[in-house]
Amino acid sequence: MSDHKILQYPKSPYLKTSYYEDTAIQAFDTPFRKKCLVIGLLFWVCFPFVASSYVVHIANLSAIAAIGAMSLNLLIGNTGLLSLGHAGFMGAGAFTTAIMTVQFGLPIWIVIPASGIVGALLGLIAGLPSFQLKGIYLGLSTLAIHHIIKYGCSEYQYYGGFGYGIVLEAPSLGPLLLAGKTVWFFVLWISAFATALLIANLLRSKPGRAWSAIRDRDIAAEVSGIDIGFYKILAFVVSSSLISMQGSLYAYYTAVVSVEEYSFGLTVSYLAMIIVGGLGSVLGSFLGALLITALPYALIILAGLVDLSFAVKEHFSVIQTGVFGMVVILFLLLEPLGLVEIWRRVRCYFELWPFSYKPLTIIKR
Amino acid sequence: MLLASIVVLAGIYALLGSGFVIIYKASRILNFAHAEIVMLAGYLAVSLAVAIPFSAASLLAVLCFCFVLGMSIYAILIRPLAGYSVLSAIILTVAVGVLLNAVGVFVWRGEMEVIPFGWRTYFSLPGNIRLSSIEFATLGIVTLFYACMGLFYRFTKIGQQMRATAENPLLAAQRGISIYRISGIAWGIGFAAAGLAAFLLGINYAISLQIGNIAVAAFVVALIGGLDSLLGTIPAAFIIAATEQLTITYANPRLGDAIPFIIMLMVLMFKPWGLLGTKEELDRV
Amino acid sequence: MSSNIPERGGGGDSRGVMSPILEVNDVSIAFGGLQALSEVSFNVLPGELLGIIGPNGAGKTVVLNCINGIHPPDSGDILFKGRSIRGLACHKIAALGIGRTFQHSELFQRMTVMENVILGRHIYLKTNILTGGIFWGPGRREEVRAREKAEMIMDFLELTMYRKEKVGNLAYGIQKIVGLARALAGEPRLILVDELGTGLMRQEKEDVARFLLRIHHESKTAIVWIEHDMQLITEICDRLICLSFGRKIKEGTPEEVIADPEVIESYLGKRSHTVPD
Repeated sequence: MSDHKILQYPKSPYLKTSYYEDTAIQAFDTPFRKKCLVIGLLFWVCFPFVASSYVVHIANLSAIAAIGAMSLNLLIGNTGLLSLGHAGFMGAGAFTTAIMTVQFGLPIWIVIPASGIVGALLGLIAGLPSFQLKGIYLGLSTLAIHHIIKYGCSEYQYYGGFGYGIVLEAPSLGPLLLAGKTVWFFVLWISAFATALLIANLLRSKPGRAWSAIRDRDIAAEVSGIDIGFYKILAFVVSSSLISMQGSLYAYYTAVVSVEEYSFGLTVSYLAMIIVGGLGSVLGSFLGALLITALPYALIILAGLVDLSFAVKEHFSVIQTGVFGMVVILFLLLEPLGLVEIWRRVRCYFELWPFSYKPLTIIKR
Repeated sequence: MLLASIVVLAGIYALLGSGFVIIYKASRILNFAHAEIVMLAGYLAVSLAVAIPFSAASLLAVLCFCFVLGMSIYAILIRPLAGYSVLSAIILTVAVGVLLNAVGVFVWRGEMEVIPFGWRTYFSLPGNIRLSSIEFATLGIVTLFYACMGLFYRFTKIGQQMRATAENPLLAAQRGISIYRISGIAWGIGFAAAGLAAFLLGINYAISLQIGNIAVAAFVVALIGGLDSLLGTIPAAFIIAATEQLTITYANPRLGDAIPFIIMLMVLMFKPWGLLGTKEELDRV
Repeated sequence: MSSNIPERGGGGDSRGVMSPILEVNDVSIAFGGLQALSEVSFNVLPGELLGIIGPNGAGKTVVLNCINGIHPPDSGDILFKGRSIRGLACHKIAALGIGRTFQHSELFQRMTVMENVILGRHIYLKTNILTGGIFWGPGRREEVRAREKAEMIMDFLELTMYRKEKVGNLAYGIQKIVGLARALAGEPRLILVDELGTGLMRQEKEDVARFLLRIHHESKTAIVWIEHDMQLITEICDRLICLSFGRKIKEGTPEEVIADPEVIESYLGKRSHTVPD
């Protein structure tokens, strides 16, 4: 009896005893991580009531950016297809929203899925060249599609007589009026988490594996039975549909839709997010979105601490742009695997402490 | 009048496109910072034209500056990225562009300026075409540039090494060609071409923050001509300049901005390597 | 090793009755001016281990690429289970039950061994974007089932200890076995094995031979195996084919083929040699 008692060790949180358990997302599997999750959730719920409205606004923008970054990362980081046209898909979502609410007065729960469908259709068209094109050529074809979408939107804005932008009214979801930063904080962050879950799920099931296989070695993928044309298009459709819905949310949140906003520069900032965050990683998209979105605001706060000359203050937006460019260059040169790699190293250090051997990774992209 | 403007614009487009092509040929990287280089070089030319009375001297100074800038950007930023994915290189050039744009705006405040070029007389040609002296000079410079580049690729040692590197970098390196040096020089020449184009834009139109948009259209020119074909930029430049000018005149300016991209999409769909470009290799198992 | 092998072919008597699983009829293909294959034909019987030998550049890999659909042949026909697969897309040919390993592994470097093997089961999975996105209920159950199958294959090929390693971090020899595991995961009726032993140590080669023999005997899968190691391939294969400059120069039992003067000439040049014993 006493022997039996000795054998009853507490089960290690790292030990999985069934394949079912092993298919779970590994992020919150140990007791420590579960505690972190609970504390994080509490913090998240309290955040909009504690922080100033300005900070909540930045957080909201980060959530929107995170959805966009995740959808772009799905395409670039996981499937290895270059898209330079995501600002166009986002704009398409925003304009779908504008047209459907201003002209037809449809409610938000119809408009957002409709934007997703519009985005999916555009993604289907944008994905067609991926049958024969790779790398930079594919990127250029998506850039062309971005410009064509932008042209369509600008025509609508011009002939609709909307001047500098289409103004939207605050939507309501059932009895709940979606207005104010706090309400939007929950809407946007829940959407972001839902998107993250969706993408994480896709990545650990059949489509995600097929996408990774296409990224790593497309001929071998094809010989393993993957219809690479179909999966490339599928990646485009999923990604552009998500970013289109994100564009719709963004339009509702900012309440103004204007074609100037969806320029190539917006695609650049999303590309920067996934580079800075880490390619092919959902967490990386979040981290990158937070950093790139918060960067200009952080600079303003930093600038408030030191005394700046008038010339510098006058051109502060230029400095923000310059720092943005600098951050991206530094990440590319010094930490090409992004914030998620830094995070991994920090985690490894603590997990392995007091030992110092690191697990292997491939330093290759 | 329309024909003249098409020809001049085509000349400038060809020059801008050749900058992309020279860089792409040598290093297989599409330089997204081109638009910002054009802007920076344009503003520099404006400042120098005010400071130095001889336009030839200021032009030379701009070209030298661009050449050195191109080589240093290659050496400091692009070369360390050798072996990385095409995406990294693209994002890097985009980020360099963002940075250079910030520098340009910070120094020159983003105002609209014209490069003073002295005399402007008009010549009448048969067929009711009038060309100004500046337009003649522009076409002359573009023709001269293409002639020089043709001779450079054909007869000089560096030019031949550049062609060899473009065809097969590995083999070129094994034959004792320093591909990094060659790529660096190519980046220098590509940037210098952008500087020359900026100068011509400055004397023909004006330098402003929006000048980059023209460089973006030029990028379409490079693609339609074939990203690795210098000669292909000439017909492509004419196609783009003509369709763009015609749509702006007869349709609307917003369509004029979009039309190069529509053409680009069609080219990518049906002839992805451009008019005169060579097909890029497929993978072997 | 050969002493442990039971009767070759797992039933030589039934061979005459069985119709071939794969028929390659007069396949020719040219790349530019180079005639890579000219009128190559051979049959593969069910459960047979067929070796293809030949000097470098003889067109061995091209034959496999033609069967796989990577390079559709210019002329000739390829029948799999009596049905023409010429001109079919790669993934459709794979779905019919043809597995493949590659000369340089061609694995998915940034995926783990487990993911690589489960990916080999792609054709059997029915998860779509919806069930995969929800990953609850059918999607997850299917994932678990695929994992069970993958574990069986990894266990068979002694890869279980590497299951969560990124393939890019593994040694070359193990990567080759992962390639075989990925091909096996699709439960193919025919596996095309391209130079599995090349670049491996003696011990690893013997492992490879052991695995191939086990596959051959236990699952009765037909195997077409390209190999440069003469000792390895002649000891194990039921039949050999020798290719040279895109032509089939000899077909027969291993002993016949390596004794053939034309085969020796293709390897060693004009002067005739005695067969190394």
